[in-house]
Amino acid sequence: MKKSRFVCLIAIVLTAVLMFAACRKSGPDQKSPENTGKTNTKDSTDSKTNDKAKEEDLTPYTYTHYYNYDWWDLKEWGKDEVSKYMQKKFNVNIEFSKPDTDAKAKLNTLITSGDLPDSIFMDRNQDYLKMIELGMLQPLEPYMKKNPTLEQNLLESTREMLKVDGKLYIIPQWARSDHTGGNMAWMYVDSIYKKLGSPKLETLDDLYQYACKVRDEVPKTADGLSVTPVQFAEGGDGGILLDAFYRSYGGVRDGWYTVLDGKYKLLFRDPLFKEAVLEINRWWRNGLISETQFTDNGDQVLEKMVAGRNGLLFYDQSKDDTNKFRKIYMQNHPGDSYEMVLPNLFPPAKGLSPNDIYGEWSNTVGGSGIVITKKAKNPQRIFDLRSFFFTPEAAQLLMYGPQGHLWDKLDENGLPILKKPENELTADEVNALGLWFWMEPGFADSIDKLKYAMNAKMPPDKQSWIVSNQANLQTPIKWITDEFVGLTDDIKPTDPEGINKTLVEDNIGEQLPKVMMAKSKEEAEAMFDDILKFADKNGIAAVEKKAGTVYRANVDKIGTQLTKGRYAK
Amino acid sequence: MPGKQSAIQNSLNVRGEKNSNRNTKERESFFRDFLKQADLQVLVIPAIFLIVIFSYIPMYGVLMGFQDFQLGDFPGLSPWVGFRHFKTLLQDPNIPIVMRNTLVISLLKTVINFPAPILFAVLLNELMGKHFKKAVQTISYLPHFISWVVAAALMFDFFSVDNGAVNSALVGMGIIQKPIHFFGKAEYFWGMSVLTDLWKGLGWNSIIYFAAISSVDAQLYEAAEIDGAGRFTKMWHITIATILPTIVLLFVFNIGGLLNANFDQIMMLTNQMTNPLLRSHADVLDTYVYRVGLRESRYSFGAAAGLFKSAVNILLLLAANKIAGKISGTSVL
Amino acid sequence: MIKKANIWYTLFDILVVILMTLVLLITLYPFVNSLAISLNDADDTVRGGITFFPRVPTTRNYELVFTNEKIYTAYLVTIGRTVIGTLGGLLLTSLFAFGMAHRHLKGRKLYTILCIIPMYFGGGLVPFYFLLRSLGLMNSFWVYIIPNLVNIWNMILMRTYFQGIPPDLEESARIDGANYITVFFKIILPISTPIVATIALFVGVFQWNSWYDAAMYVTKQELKPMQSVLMNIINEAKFAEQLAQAANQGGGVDLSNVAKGKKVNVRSITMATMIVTVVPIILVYPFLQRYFIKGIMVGSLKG
Repeated sequence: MKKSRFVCLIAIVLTAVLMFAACRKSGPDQKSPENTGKTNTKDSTDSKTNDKAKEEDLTPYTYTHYYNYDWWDLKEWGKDEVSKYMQKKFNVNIEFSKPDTDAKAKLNTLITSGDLPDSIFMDRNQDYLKMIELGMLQPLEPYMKKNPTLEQNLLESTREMLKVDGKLYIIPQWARSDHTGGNMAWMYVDSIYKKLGSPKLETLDDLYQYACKVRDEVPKTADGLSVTPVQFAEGGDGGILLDAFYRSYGGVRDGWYTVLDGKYKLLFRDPLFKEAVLEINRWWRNGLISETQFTDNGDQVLEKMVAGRNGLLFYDQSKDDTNKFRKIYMQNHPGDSYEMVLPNLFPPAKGLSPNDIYGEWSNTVGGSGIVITKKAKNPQRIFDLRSFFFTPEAAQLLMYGPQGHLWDKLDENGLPILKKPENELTADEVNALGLWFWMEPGFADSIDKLKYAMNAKMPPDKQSWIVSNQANLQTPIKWITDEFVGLTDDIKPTDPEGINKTLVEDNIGEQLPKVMMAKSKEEAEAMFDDILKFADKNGIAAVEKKAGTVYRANVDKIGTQLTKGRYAK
Repeated sequence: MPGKQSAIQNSLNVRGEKNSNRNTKERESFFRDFLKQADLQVLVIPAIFLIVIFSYIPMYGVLMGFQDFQLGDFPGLSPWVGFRHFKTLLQDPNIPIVMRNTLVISLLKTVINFPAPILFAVLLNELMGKHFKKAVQTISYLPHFISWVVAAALMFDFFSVDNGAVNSALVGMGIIQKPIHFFGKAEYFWGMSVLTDLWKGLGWNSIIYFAAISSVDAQLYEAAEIDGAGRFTKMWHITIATILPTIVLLFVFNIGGLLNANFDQIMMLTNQMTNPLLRSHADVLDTYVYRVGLRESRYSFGAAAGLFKSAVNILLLLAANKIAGKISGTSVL
Repeated sequence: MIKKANIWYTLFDILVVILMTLVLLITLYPFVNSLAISLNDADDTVRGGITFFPRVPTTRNYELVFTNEKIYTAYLVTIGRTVIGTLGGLLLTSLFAFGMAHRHLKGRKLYTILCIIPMYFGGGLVPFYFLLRSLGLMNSFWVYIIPNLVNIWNMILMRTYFQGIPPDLEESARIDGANYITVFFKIILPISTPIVATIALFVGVFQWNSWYDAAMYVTKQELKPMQSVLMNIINEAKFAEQLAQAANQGGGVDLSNVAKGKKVNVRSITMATMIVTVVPIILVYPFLQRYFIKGIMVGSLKG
């Protein structure tokens, strides 16, 4: 009978699995490299004034490290060349873990149960502040005393900004002291541009005229697919469009807020902002923006981009490394490409000078970082390892691997001579070496500088388009400021201000795109005013006040960068 | 009259005096009966034991909805705030719309997506071709295994304004002039949500009905045939009648889930709620609480919302059960 | 008269066949499409327009799945938990349901209420986490099995089915002196194959697709089930994009610095992992399906 045979089969499978499971459970924990010694406790308590830290560093130390992001990609320590090098150099072993889902819930269970890992990679958010409040994190001052690397590389103002209650608790990720890098940019499809006579694209109005021309004269690509005059990156709340236009009007925004008369205020109070939004609406009403702009997701936008179905594109040019939008386009359309709009990366509007325009900005403190919990038995070792990442030597290691693999010798400027050009490396080679993976923390200064230097070494036709853009075009107009750091730290989401903030911002996210898509100027203005009314009705003034207090304190401490253009006094 | 007398007699002892030991006697007889059916109870006790351990012991977490939970607190030990979160929830200006969306979507699904698997199972059962039946039944549940992440991407492709299959067909056949922005108009969302849910769940939800149908006694069909019953009569009075308890059961629980609108589906179809054009019709209780509550670490608020939802759901369940009991004669629970 | 009825019947049959074919096509297409995408080169998939067949065939997406060294242990874990979890769950749940199907069961109402409440109210993640911890189930294979042995919804479905079985069958056996366990295994079970097969399918699929318990309660990598590993494979591809998204909140981070290591398209990988998950289920399903067709009570009460 078939039935009994099936049952037999199951019984056999079952037995086999049980035996296998039993064997595994009693066996060794996991594939452990040679040095999983027990942590040595004596060195952490004895030494106080020890100049020669070298003897301590040689004892093997294993600790646990947790990534507070459910989308993180775990790699085993010591399996690739980069981490192998660091493993040997510092004689540390790290066991990684992360939540497979619902990071907040998992963090909650870890904290409540006391099962904390030794170090955590997390955002500097309310959870982080709460953990400090609960006394779960180690202040880093004692370890900085013995190892000055961090101090030497971070600006003092950066460290001050990072301190909570006067103590530093986090090793920042993507900190910087210099303005390097860049992402968003206006681009155009070269073939369409040439077809329309290569007009100048210096001001926002030039872009408008060009887009109208595309709409009228190039409705379809050579492949017969429809062309959108202006394509923006995906985003349902319209933030991307704001970035493009508000900048061109000389504005600077921090989320949904800006600075008016030195005070931190909601964007909607800024008449310049209103002008920018109404301009977006004008573009919309004239059929220059796709009707699916606010509903498309990343994949859908990407599909259109690789088919060249746009006249102007406002997108993160550095994404060419991840989704290869430009590379694929050039592959399928030989001789054609996406080019950056020049000379002004953010073409000014209505008679403004390019000098009045603020480009992209970042702060010096980064948004996340590594914390060491009270559970760590030897925090100094963890600190030493992570501080190393701030050195130029580390940047070279992280980007190009240790000596003897991708490179053997340095040239006269101290830059590695690569045996194979970077862009010809296969994914497997990159993974085996562990390049670009272990940037925790990444220090923008050293990494960017090295990246640009290495790129400049290459002949012009082999240089990376992205890096060249960043080095030559975007870095000069980028600027850094810390005045917007920590403004909402005091606003807990469960406070009335927090609840109102969420309510108002949620409403903005839903209504602002509708303003941009209004059918007439009057309708747009009315809806715009409604948003402001809603915000005022729901207590946004209290939020502005609280955040504004911190803002003013920041400005008193470090000054403000908003001094030119419309912010000039 | 006689019944009443014996009842009175039972509460009196032999001498007609009131039996003060009645309760203990009842309790004793309860235990005796209990022990008498020990071999029946033994089937049930282990499961009850497991339920108590894994479902009831952790239930103290429910208290979070009445407290002000902060990260690091032990659940159930935070400061007490009573019904504050419930008030916040019900006074939230967006709640009327959110509740409207939740109820409309759920009711539409009850009216359309609930009978569909039943119809599917009954109709497919009528066919003769064994291999065709098996093939259809096997393939029909495949969409259940496609996660909503992938399913949404498929839907976007299919219904895309930009040469999507549906729009191309409609325009090609001349039914419409301009492509329809299916995921761009809020009013369409209810229909789209129901439609996609139907596609995804039809096959899987019909499995239980197939199982019920195959328990129908073949002899009944033969007997009905002899009595001159036509095909549709047989379908109605035998097939459907036999699986009626299953239908009623699932219906009652469907009503008991009215405040749950498929969270995963809606999140995916609205690009994680970032699609602004759909929000007015797509925001349901779960997505709203997620957006303003859980994502902002307002755990207690989220817990309170969950409690509120569960309380209403369970009331609906009991009401549906009572009504079903009156109509069909047997109580589901 | 009979002729007329036959015409309607034939028309009806034709209609039903058309309908069913439609259902077949609509439910089959996405699967075929996913298969095509999973077999298509990632860079080409981005251009869109893949329908039934891959345009630039490649097995790279599957290579990425099967060259992941963790997948083989994970597969064993999943098979283990599916088989053990299904058998154990079936046993406990069906006995439970059978007991509850008897209206003269003492305390039945109480048990029912006891069952309904947890379907709607729960303490949440942290209390459950603590419970498992104190029971010593953290990081153990049995955390996949023991908490899932009784599924209340499945019990209710089975109970309804058992209640539909004519009581004479059971009575005649009990008169002959059989106890409930014997009645269950010798009499009830053989004629309940449809519901048993259904619940086996439900429990089996649940165990096969489970990953949330592994995510929360298990940190040992060798105990992770296949779905966890598959999700991580997808994460590898998503890594750069997600990091960018997170970075946008931090005031401008140079994305290309983190993007360089990742070179696979998310969509292709997602499709491949989905196919890898579903195919075993499709292969096993016909074994269960025939029980939906069999299992009719025939001639059990003769004599």
